Amino acid sequence: MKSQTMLLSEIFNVFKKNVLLLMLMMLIGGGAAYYLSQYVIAPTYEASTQVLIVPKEEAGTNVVDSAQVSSSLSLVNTYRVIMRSPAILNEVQERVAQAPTDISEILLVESEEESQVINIVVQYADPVVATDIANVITQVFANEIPDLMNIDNVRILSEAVVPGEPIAPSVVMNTALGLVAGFIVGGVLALIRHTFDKRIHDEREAELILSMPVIGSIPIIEKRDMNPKVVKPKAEAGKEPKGDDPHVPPVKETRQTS
Amino acid sequence: MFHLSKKQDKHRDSGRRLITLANPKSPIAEQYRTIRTNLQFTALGATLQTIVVTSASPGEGKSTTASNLAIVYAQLGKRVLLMDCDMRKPTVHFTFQLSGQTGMSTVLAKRTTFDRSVQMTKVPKLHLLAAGPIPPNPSELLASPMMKQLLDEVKEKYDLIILDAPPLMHVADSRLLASETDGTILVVGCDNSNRDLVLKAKEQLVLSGAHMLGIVMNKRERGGKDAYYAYTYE
Repeated sequence: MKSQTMLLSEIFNVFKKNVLLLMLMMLIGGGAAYYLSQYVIAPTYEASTQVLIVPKEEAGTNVVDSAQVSSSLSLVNTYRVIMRSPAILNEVQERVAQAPTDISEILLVESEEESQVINIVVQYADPVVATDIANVITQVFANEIPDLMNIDNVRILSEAVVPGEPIAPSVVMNTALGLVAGFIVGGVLALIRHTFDKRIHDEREAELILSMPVIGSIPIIEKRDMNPKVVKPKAEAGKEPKGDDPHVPPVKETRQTS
Repeated sequence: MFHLSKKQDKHRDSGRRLITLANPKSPIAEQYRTIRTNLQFTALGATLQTIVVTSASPGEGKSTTASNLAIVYAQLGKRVLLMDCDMRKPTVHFTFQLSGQTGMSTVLAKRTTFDRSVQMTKVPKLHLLAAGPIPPNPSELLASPMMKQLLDEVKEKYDLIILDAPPLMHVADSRLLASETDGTILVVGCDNSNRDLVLKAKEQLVLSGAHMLGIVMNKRERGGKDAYYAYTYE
């Protein structure tokens, strides 16, 4: 019954009461994510090359025909499949000694729509190998196409450069995710704790459960409550004018003599 | 997981209970006076001469509430008697730093008279009948006709009698007391109450014919409310 009527403000109150738990869970989550992405997860490097599919050259014409462009566009898809085929990859395997056995897993061939450019992206733990693979694939592909398609219309647009920074894992992103996950776990724990908490926390709850009026509510008595310090300033203020005669002179005397 | 309340409890036991005496102008003492006022309104028309203070489980703050309530009533100029009926775990005489040699148990066993067992406290007009030595049969003593006799006797001598009763959870003592008195206050400790037990305790009290006066929430967590009270009081 209670959980059904739980309002947003109540949930907020639960969080506020369990702020220590929330902080701890966030610290654990964020810390673990930071540690994992910084020291445990192997970084991945990305090397990419670009290949341009040029329209078929016809003798004497320097003008690029739109029909020729569209025909080379339709070739792009075919080329993408060829690039991933064993015909190409097996040769790459032979030429790059350190390449993994399944290159197609780390190979990403993409082309943007309506463009004649194919991007060849290789993601691998070793930046140099990644660059090698990307370059070799491009070379092999450019060499093989004339044989396979009977047209020489592939040009290498850009070579791969050895990447300096890994693309994954992103430490900042992962840590942020860890913090959020920690917050969620902490929040769920806090709510569970609240639900299974059998104690009666406040007057409203007591009246609801016992259907009796609350006639008094005593806060936790702490040591400082026992000293009547709330009254002290007033008492001292009242003493000052009339307290001159009995107390102050002896103090002055002792000061002078010492 | 993060509750340190048990440790705090131990600290609080050492003579820190009588806040209405140590710091009568504090907001907390004011809360006890609020209880007093509320009780006066509750009692409109009916006599409210004997009040039982009890709770579902031990350590919720019965004795603290009973003692402070007795003090604020005495400060009102009434003749008040505080009776420690918890003969299993008596504490009130420690709180008032009085002797526990004689008290309820010796009076009910007819070994001493009430007049010779009652003690004056440092609060004017507030007298204390301690629990006395721990007897082997507290329930029988409280159920004995002598208890009724004692209540009749003290009703003539005092304006108000506050009975600090044992917790309801384990023993029948408090139900006996509640049925023979004018009103019952149920103390609920915010830090260690169990709502199932408290509800059961209340039902038992109602069944035994107690007149329920209300709940006193004890050891409530401090919030903005306190600051408000402190401010207005100054």
